[in-house]
Amino acid sequence: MTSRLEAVPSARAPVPGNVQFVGGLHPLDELVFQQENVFATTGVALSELRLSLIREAFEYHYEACPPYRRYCEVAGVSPLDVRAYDDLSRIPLLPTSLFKKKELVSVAPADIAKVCLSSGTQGGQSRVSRDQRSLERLLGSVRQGLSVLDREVDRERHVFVLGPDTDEARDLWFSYVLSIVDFLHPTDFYVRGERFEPAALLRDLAALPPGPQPLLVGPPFLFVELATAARELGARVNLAEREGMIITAGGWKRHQGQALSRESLDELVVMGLGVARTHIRDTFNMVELNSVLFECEAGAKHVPPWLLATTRDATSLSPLAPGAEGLLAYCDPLATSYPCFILTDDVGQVSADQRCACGRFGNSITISRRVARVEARGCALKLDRSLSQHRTGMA
Amino acid sequence: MTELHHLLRIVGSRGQRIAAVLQRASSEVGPRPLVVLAPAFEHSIRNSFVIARYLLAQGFDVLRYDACNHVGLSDGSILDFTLDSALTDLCDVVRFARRDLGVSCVSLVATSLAGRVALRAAGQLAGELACIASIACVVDVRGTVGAAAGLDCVGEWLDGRVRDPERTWKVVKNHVKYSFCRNAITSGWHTLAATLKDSAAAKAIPFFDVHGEHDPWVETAHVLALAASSPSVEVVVLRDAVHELNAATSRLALCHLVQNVVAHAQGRNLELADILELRWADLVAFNKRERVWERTPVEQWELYARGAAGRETRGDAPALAVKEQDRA
Repeated sequence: MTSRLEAVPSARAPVPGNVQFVGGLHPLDELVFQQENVFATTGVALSELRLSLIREAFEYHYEACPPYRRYCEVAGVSPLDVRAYDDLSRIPLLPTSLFKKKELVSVAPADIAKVCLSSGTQGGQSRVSRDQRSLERLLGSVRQGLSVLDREVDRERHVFVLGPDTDEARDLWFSYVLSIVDFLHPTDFYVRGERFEPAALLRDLAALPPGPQPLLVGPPFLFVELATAARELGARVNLAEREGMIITAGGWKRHQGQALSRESLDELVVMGLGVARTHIRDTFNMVELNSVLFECEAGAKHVPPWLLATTRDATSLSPLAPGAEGLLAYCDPLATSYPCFILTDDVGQVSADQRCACGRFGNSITISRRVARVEARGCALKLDRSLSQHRTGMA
Repeated sequence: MTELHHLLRIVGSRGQRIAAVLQRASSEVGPRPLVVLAPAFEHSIRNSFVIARYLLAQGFDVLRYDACNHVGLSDGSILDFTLDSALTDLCDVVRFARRDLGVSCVSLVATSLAGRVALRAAGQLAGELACIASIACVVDVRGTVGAAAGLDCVGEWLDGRVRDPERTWKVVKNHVKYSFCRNAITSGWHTLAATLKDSAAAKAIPFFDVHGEHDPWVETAHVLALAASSPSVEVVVLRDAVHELNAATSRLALCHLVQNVVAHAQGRNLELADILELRWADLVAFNKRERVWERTPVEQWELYARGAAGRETRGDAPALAVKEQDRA
């Protein structure tokens, strides 16, 4: 592979002066890092874009990851079989459980920048090896996703995380992703020493100087605790004054098995934290996926244009029509260090490509539940268990 | 690698306080060549942390500052920003490095509009700079400002459609007074010809620019004209890149920039492949350390003033006391 640092000879006519033309961007990097409005691509252009990017990624991983290649050979599918858009559904999908058992890597060991682990609440963690490029593109997907939260992508923000930082949380994926959000915006963490510190968060929120938009990010159950603490402390919190946002992440399950409802959470944080209802958004990511999906003001979790999201029949794994409920599957070309063609344990729906009420174009996902037989997982679950043990004095 | 940092406020020649951060690798002792990083319009010290890290890794001390009458921690409001004020700040910081820090080898890295300012500064700083390197240097001020603002505000002042210097217009994120346009015209900043004239006058100082071929705010043809204007100008054009660097373009851009600065400031000819590419973990750790000192209120940064009778300092003098930052 040509070093990205090497100057590629130019075919253009020589120019006067000491001038060199170098480099060149992959279309995917141009899309992730430079395109202003990624949710404006529509129709045939969108299909062609996905086909081009995902087919190339499939060819790359087929060659670069021998275990994945063998998997494809058993499935009887090679890159030659992927020509048209409908052929994308033939790309062999890796069950996410496979990442617990096998190291699936498409780069040399020296190129691995971070081995990312899933929450693995009952043992058995997925191990996903990411190189620098994959991590940069993940951050790029976050930045593009911020455009779904707020059309002013580069406005000044301050992020308040209802969770531990990486020094404390080590491999908690949620914490890791937010630690790299710190590249974009100053980010503070409010689970310290296995204790959630809502009073400190409320104090720092009140002390935030004029200018930055506050973003509060965390699992739903900790927003319940924060809203409760605000009431008990008599703190007057009015996030709406600063266009502040509540961003839920990490999953909706609690370790005692309850699940929070979106409606009840919205009610609590609107009353307790003064946030505008339109400024409460959910996000979706999993350690095996290299893109983060953000919810728009119309309540849709938008699939970015480079990502193929589909549902599959749970028995036959054949692709289902848009809108039909099935197992969610993703083909994500952003990952370069591992084949990100995954079949998840989430049951949900993928809409057709369409114009959303928010004005953005593309499809969106809805997650209904997890496949019942599979262990519960999620960063929120893991964090809840950890905090609960601390509260009861259990090690 | 961890670094030492010193948070400063330099009282400039207009009496305004310029917030600056001096950084050096903690493992190094003795004098090292220093690079001053001049911020782009609407950029602050924060925006240059990746460039700083590259330069620190190559044996440079780095002095980053916020321009006055700008965003960031220096005095003044961006409403009052002018290119003349940016020029004064840049020269003040370079002279601070030379005279107060006692650094004999000072180079300058300037981004975007600061690159344009650096070209003029070169004429005033002859003998004080080893080289100037720029990222996305603005060459036609009127054209670039107009493209960024979506409004030919310089033209509006030129032809008299706007006469009130207190009236404001919005650039990208911030409002600026029309006094910027008046100053750009009266001080001869605003044309391509003026830039080429400054470039010709600065031919004693090597000037390097790395530029995106798809920069929507600066025409490649103008950059090539700059390259043709003087044998001391060198340009690297990044195919497909835009005005702002990002993760996909920054590595190649910064490697070329560092290669150039090292060659002129240290006399070492590095191959691009020899330039240390920053590892992800290193950048994450460096960013975390940056966020720690960013929390220090600017009122607590040490003040350095040059009085009429000579140097007056608060804090340790004459040498700067550097504070060791918490190790990652």
